[in-house]
Amino acid sequence: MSLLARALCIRTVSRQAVRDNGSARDNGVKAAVLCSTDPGDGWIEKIRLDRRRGSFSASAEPYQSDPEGKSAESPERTEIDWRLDITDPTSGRDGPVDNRRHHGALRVALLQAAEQVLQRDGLAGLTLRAVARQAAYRTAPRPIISAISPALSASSPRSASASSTPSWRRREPPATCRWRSRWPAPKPMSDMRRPIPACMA
Amino acid sequence: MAGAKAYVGYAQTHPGMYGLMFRTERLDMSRPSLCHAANASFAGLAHAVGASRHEQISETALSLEQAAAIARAWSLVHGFTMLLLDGRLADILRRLPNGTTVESLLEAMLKATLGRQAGS
Repeated sequence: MSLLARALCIRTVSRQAVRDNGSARDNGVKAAVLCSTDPGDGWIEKIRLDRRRGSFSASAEPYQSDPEGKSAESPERTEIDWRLDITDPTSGRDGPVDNRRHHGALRVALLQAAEQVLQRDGLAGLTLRAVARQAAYRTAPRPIISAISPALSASSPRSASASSTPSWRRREPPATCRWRSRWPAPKPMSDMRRPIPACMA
Repeated sequence: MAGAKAYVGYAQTHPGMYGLMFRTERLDMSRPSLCHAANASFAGLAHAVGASRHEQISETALSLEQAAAIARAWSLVHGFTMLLLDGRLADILRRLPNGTTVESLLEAMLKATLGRQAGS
């Protein structure tokens, strides 16, 4: 299970880290962040589940080795605030981690969803979107599911079209890139940016 | 022997998870939890190999013979598992007498390897 967590790079950020991400209104907000550092395109995609505001947001930015550092470009940020209670409202504890949903543990839910996706679709189908969709289907009301897809598609650098404006900067997903579409297959290992650490040896 | 059977059994039951473990490009080995899990797995393998050699194997420093024994055991079982998952052992199994299972094939292969080690 820990391997799966690593594969998805599921991490949670502290209150300070959220503040450092550059949004003043997020002060004091604890959030769980699901990051996909897909080496296939060198972009990092984040889904944030905001506990206090009960909102869901997604963003994409260029991948870099220092996840807390500044990006070369300003990340597009699409936020949908459905005022739905998707995280545990009773969790008032301070600390670096708040990864629970109101129906249980967010981390566990995501890992379970990832395992289900892996079993159903295989390794090629194991994407951040598929996992989020799987988790949402299981635990979230229907409006969240329909809200997730435009947010992800709009923030995705892969939603290519002929327009001069980069598709990932648009708020609306192009017709050719609906949320049901799959991520393309990852690029070959030769395109990896991350070196293999010594502990693999 | 039991560890090898468990290794193959897990891969058969969870082929997706097993495949993910060896997709280096999808793993972030800088994560402490994954490093810890990988080290624990290696320690289990080293312990099993050390037990078969009747010696204690250090996790930090290996002799060439110890490293070769570990790599041999891992390669043998991992290779068997990958061939099995990819269906490449079907031809061999088809030519065996009726009733021969994957497990018995693995067992025979390991016994032959262990016997050769003891004889050498």
